[in-house]
Amino acid sequence: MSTDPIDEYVQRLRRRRWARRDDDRLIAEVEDHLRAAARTLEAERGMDSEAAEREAVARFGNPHHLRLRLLDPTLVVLAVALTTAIVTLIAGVVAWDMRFAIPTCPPKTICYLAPPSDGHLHPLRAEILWAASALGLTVSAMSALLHLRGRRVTSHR
Amino acid sequence: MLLLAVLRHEPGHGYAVIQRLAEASDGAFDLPEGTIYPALYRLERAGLLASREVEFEGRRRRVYEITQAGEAGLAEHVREWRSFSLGIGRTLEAAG
Repeated sequence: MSTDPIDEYVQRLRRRRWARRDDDRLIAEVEDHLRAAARTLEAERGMDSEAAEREAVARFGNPHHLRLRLLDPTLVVLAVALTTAIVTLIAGVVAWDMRFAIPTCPPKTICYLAPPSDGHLHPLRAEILWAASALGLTVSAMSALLHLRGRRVTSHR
Repeated sequence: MLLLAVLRHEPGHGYAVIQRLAEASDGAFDLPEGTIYPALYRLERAGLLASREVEFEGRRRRVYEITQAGEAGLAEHVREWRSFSLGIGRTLEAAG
């Protein structure tokens, strides 16, 4: 097993590959960077090889953070918006299906026990759930659109 | 803006960019070095930088250089920054 701090760091980075197009390029650049930094530390501060490599790695930062910074913010926002939309939609569909779950509930409602539990079922109209679901979808779509618009405006500056 | 500025007169690899930033700013921008690559990649995707591989001491090294769009973008950022900086200075002077 290698004890070379730079090799260890590069291996950690390889283990965190996210199948990005730039993975091989990034890893090669990081290794080149770390070796150049270690050489400079050895020359300028008289550090021994291993200490210089450790210092170079420490200065470079956590590989996980490096990966997070490489994420495209647009993709992150779109992924969050899409996930929210899907979850909201599923919740809406489930709510619609549940309207017949409790036979004593009035039609087109679901029933719930209001806290503090009084032993009575309270009906909630399915339309309210659908409205909440639609609101969730709209907010998701708007957040994605606003982000893209903001990005377009920024890129024109 | 600062990355474009330090690459304006001479192409450089990521570590050189970090060193130039620290030297030019007299240590004020001694950044965590890993932060440089996401920024360089974004600038390259935006067409403000271009990169190519060169041979260095038997290894392949990626070197970044500013593009024409990068030069124009830098000039615009510098104008904005000077205007902003001037405004701040005047405001502080007026406030005593």
